[in-house]
Amino acid sequence: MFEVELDERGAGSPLVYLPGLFDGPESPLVTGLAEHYRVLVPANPGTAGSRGEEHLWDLHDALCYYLDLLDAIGFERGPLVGHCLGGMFAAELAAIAPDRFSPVVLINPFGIWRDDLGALDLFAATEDELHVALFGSGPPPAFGPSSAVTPDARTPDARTPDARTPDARTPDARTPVSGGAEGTGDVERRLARARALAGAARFLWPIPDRGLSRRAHRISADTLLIWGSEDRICPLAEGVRLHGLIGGSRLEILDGAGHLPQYSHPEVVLGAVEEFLGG
Amino acid sequence: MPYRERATPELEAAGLQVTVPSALFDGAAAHRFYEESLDEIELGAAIGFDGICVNEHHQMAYGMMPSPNLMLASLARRTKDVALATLGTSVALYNPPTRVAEEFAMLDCLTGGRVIAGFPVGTSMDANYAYGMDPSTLRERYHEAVELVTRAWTEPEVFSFDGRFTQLRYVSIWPRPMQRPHPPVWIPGGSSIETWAWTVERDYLYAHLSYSGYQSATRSVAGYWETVERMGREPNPYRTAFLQLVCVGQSADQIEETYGPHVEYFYNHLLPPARPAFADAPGYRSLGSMRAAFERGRAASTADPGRARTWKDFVDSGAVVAGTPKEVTEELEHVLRTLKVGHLLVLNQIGSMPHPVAMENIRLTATEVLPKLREIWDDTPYRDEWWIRPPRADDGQR
Repeated sequence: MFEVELDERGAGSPLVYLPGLFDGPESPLVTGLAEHYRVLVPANPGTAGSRGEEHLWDLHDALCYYLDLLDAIGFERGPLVGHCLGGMFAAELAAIAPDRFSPVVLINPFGIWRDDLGALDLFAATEDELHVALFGSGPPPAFGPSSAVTPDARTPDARTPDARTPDARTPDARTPVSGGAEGTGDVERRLARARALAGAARFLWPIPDRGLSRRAHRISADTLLIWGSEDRICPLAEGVRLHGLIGGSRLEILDGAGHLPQYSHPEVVLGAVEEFLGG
Repeated sequence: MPYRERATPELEAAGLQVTVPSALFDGAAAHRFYEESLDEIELGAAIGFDGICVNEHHQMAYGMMPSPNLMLASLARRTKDVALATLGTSVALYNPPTRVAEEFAMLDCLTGGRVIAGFPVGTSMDANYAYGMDPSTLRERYHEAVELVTRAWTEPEVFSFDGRFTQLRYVSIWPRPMQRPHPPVWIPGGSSIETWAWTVERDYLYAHLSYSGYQSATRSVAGYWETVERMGREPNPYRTAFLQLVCVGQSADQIEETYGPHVEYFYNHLLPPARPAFADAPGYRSLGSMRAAFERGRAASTADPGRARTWKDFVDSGAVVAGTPKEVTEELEHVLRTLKVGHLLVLNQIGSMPHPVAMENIRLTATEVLPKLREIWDDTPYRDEWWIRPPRADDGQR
């Protein structure tokens, strides 16, 4: 029923990284962790070479899917790191199977919601809105993230609205994230983007709350939350709440970072994660 | 049924779809618009239209009918003989969908068997953004809902329904529709290839609803007829309907002056969402439909912001059929024959068009255009199997 594209990098004891919508195995965090771990990165449902996402009807199905996958590859116990949508999966997995995942790192995860925070709807966002939400107010990252969904990372000399990057992976700068409106860009890339977003919509639409707040107390592993303070997609107040729900957890707030701190602040994030996992 | 009062640029910048600013709303104006719209519909019903039609949209200034069934209820006892159609009622948005089956059964009985049930998937703005439906499962939800509604209408015994999106242990609606086996089902669509095949398979009518004009509709409708042929059904024009904006007058200048600003307001201000993503949530269209659209060279979205278009653009593209009664009749005949359409849906009140102008447009269309088009398919062997069948008093049907 399922085919899962699984990326493996590095050597050492296994660590599972569940990426978000805007990230993947090329993440600088993965590269860094691969120095000391064998990092396993399953592609999110609906992305890359993974197949069968239509059979995941809800979060319950998705959690069983991940547990089945980890059984199949022989991951018995170890660290779990998750970002964005992958962070929501990671938190839920840690709650439902607390003895299997330790320690746990959650980077700007989805899963907690407050109606009054005016969070940015990533599915309806324009490219400009998304750019600010992802990268915050700091300097633009030196390299672009890669996924079907990510907008142009906008290196300094490509900041003008009409700029195009030569990188064939990066989508048209004017296109809304959902890829719905007019724009140039090759057909396959736009279809891949639509597919990835539709796959994520299953768990995030219309509000990214599937009840994690009722279960997070079950997470017994040592847990580190990393939160870019200027993330408008998953606002910081949600991270504060999640921190309060997970007993003994630590919350590292990165001032000026957005939803993708591992790209805008790669050394800080990698350092924090390595120190936490090592200790 | 648009909110006819024009929005200021400030209010429009906030978006007239999904998140319409409440500051735009004037209750007295709204009351007047409902009165005027119903007067217009009733006039059409009285002077020659075979049917009248309402539709469903949510949270947008383009329409004021989040419940089309309420409009039909208002018209039920004030009309005689004409078909009362929705195009449609968004079945996927009703919880449970048996509510739709019940309301149509009520309306069918109220009207003596004159209801036509239109079931659209729903626009992405309505279904995904205003009503929060997951776009990746909307079409599946819609198909399940249509199945539940039609079973509720037709199964003689109580049944249980363990669907993915609706679970009901006891389904046995009361009242039941008057028309047998059930009211005609019309499926409004744009150009989803899956919709065509499914519509033909279930033998429902396909209503092509697109505001892009009949020139661009030609390619899409051709795709529909190819599907009909491939599935071995007769090319009966009565299995389709087509929506056309119509503006009738005396001279080109008078027509442009009378209708132009309102049509431009409709297309340039009411239709396109301020936020393009609202028009097309990811997963709303299947990957197959998206790929087909790319290959046809069309924009990925159904709402192309583009540049503001003019009256001339709309007339040239066939988005509006405008002219003297004679000119309009000729052009409509061309549209009907080219697209092979058996049911013409006419939109005579458009955008900010005021009531007296709409009434005159309806009158001219009904009395000087439609009579000449009515017999267009009479010389073919085809019969209209997608029309109302009000049971007669002497039918003996129970």
